[in-house]
Amino acid sequence: MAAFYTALLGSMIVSNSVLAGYKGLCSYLGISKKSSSAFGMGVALTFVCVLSGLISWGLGFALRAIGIYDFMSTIVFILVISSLVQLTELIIKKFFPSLYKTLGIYLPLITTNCVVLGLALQVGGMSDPASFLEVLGTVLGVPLGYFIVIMIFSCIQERLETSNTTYNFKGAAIGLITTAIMALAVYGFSGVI
Amino acid sequence: MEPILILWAVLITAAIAIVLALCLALANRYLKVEEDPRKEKLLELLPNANCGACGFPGCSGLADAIVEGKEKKVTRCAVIKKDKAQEIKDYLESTPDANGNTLKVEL
Amino acid sequence: MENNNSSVTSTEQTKKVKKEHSKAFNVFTSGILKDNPVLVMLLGLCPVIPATTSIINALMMTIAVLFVLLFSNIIISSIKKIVPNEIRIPIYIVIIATLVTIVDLLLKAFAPDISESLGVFIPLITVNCIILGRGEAFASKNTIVHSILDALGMAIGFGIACVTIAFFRELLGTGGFTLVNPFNAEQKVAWLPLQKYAASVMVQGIGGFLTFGLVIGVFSLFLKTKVPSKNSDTALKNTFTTLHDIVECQKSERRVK
Repeated sequence: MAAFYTALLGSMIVSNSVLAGYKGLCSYLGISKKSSSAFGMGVALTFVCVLSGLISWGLGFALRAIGIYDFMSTIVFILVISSLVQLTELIIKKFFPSLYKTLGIYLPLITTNCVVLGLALQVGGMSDPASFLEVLGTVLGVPLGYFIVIMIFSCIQERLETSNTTYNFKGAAIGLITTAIMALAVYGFSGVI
Repeated sequence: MEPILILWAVLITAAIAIVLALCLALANRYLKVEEDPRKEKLLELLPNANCGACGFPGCSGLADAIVEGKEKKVTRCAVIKKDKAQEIKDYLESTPDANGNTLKVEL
Repeated sequence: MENNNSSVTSTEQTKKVKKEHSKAFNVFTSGILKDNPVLVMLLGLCPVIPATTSIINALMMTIAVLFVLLFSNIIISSIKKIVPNEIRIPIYIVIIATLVTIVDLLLKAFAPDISESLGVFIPLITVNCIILGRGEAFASKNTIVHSILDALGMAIGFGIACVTIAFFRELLGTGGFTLVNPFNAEQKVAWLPLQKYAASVMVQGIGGFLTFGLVIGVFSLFLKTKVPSKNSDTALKNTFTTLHDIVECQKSERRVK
């Protein structure tokens, strides 16, 4: 169990995918104008990440057994991820129509989210079959870390919208400078796990 | 590197693609949501720029709002051309919904 | 009379040729500064911060993105008529993934140190919004020649953004510039004038985010571009601002008061 919690907290905070891994910035800056849409994006991303992470881990074994992992990993993983995103879109449209309206165009954009493909490549490379708990911790921790960061950033952005920023720094520029301050906090954790 | 690996790569990728396509086809069948067909036609006629200038989330948002009656002006869309707006107006006034009512919209 | 007719048609023809040339020129130059993919359209932000830790890394990332963008635009523009509309996105993704795998293997073979320092971000070019976005928005609707020009323009714009950010990060982070031969890591040329004052936090993520935000802000100040913001919910703010416009607005406000 220690491996599970280590992997969970490690990938959630210490190697946070946005602040310490620099992935997922496109949707991080784009979705977080409203907290409700950021919440929905986090939930959808968690669903896609857990499923695609576990499937990628399994497929990694199959590809390594045949010996084609080195050059087919990207293509196979991206196929799996785009199909899972399509499936998630159908499920959300059927069972949570209000969430579907909020997310709008950002749901198909999870396909091009670097977090998901980065997670798939990371767990696809874990070649020890006994490390299932660690893999489970990672596939849960990465999207939860992203979720925490976009929730915090969307609350900050709601305040930034009405504050007195220099005109040309509004929007993305001041958002990135704020992210630098948030990255300072996570930088302090580096090396803990 | 043995040449047989190329064959394996093609076979495995094709197999994965076929399995995923089957899953998606099944899911499309069983998870289908009944939608007003006018929304799809309206989405085709709108410029599909997804700019958000109308205030709705994307062009599908505006299409849904117009068909549900929440939005009366077609030219709320900032990038649509006059002839396309007229086309939308004519289409909505000539196609009735399930109850037989047609939508009246302004240009 | 016949002389007049032939001269009229030849001027029409030269006008048409000039118009085509200017459209092609516009397509090429729009990607460099006016519609810079990183600094204005805010696409493809993921590889910017890890690739700008040094100028050599930024140049190699630009070359990788140029390769993938150019060939994916050519291929997508060639097959645009025979691809069914519903499955075009997965097909584009597989094309881009194949090209990225080629680039990844080439880099691992010929420039292994660059491949190690860029890490997982070379395979992540697959999901770079620039390549899929330009393929979907431009290459699938335009001719091959225009798609090539668009790819070149966008890649040069990406390069300008990356090299600018890398310039400041490397200067402030290591105190100078270190040029390493990417194919043979032994050969280095280093010019480190400010090494005593170097702040190594600039080559970490914090400095990356900070430099990136500042470069976007300053860039939109000196170029007549709209303020970059990514949102599909709020209205498109088409205000062109330069220093001149801000000063004019302040003057008019003072007059009202």
